[in-house]
Amino acid sequence: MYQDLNAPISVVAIFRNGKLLPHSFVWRDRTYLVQSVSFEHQQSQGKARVLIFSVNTKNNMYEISFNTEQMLWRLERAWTE
Amino acid sequence: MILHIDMNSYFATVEQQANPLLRGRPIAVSGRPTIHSVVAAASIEAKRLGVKSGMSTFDAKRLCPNLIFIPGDPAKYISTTEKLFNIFSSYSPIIEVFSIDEVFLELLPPKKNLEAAVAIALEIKKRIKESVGDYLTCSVGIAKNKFLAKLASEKKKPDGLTIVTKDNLDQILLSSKLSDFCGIGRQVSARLNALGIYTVLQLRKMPLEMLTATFGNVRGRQLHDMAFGLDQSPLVSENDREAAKSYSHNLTLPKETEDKKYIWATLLRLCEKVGRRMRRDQVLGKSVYVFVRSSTVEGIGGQKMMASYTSDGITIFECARYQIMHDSIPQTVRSVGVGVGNVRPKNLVNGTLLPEARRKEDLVFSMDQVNNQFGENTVVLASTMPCFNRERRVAGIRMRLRFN
Repeated sequence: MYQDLNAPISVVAIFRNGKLLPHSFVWRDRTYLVQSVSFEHQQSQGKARVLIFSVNTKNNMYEISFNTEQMLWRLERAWTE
Repeated sequence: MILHIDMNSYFATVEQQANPLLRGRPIAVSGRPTIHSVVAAASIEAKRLGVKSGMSTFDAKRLCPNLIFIPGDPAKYISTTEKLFNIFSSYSPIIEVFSIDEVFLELLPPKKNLEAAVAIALEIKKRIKESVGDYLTCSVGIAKNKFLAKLASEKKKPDGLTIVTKDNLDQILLSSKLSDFCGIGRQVSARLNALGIYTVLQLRKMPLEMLTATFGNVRGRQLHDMAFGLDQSPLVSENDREAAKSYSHNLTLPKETEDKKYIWATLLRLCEKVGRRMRRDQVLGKSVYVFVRSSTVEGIGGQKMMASYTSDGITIFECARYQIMHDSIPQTVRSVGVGVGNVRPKNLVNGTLLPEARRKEDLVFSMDQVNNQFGENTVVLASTMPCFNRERRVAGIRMRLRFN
């Protein structure tokens, strides 16, 4: 099941061909290397457009979001077995 | 030439696309597992084990103990559908949105031939994999009319491509069950059975007069035509849709409740949703119908005319509440619904001159402006907050998109 985390994170991302690709993120002092982005969607939060990435690390899957208005990254939720 | 495109196990496959750890496993998109809910979509693996859309989560879990429930994420599906529709609309300007995961596409000359249609279908499949998600599949039916195209797309799932030609028309029709036909549901099936019709061949042999005598001229003729694969209905794009005759919303609550404050808040929220759609379509209505039901479908309700035409959610709510507040509301409530009828275009109704009513209209207009610009529910009536708190993260089964 998914565990809601809703925590601010630091992200290293790459801008390539007009697309934003998360490369790695830091949560609770630990760095998670993104191995693949399996899905991307967006939604409105008030005035802001929020991009949501489903990212896969070596062992798990996470949803991270980028608020284009506030320029903030958040770890939304993680998959836990 | 018409294409019917049906995304396979849509919500579930989107979830499996997003989370590779779910792939190859039986999953069901639903509300939260801790509440009474239904399966909005089952993955292909879950379907193989008998799990179906619309089944209660309790029954689904009993059937498939390993079933993984994923809370529905409407924003994710709407965003995905937008991407899909961008692909579809690059092939034809004539698109009929049949549901959130099904569309009809009419190909125009010079692409109005079978070879071009097949090439387009294959290209659409490829583009979906490349630009939306490699795990997403769709079944495509190609035929000369909508009825056959839809029937064809149902023939092979997942990832099918079925073409109906003169040569295989009879084989496809006669190998279908009556319930495979779009428009023949449980009730029509039962009535056909009562006439001794259980197969498409039997439907074919039934005289048209007999069908029209039983089902009426329009429906009888339609059933007769179905048996021969005939359908003259044109594609109806969003812009061509007829104006609605009534506007309604109903909601099955996440679980039964005795909380009257929550019930009134839900009714107000539904009234406001009805009003907002009416304001968007620039119409006003005069009659209000409402119902409140328990899980045993016992309940109360009624219909009443308002003093004047309106599209204001609070006025609709006051009228709805007046109808039921004197009756005994069921001890526990499971569903609430409200609708507005006698709808007329706003420009055909005289506006109010009363300053108080004008102020009210201005306030509603301002709220709509804020919600249009900053997203739905940015500003809501404070009295509706109890429902927002409870319904968070419940699957959006009744989602419907409008593409203008």
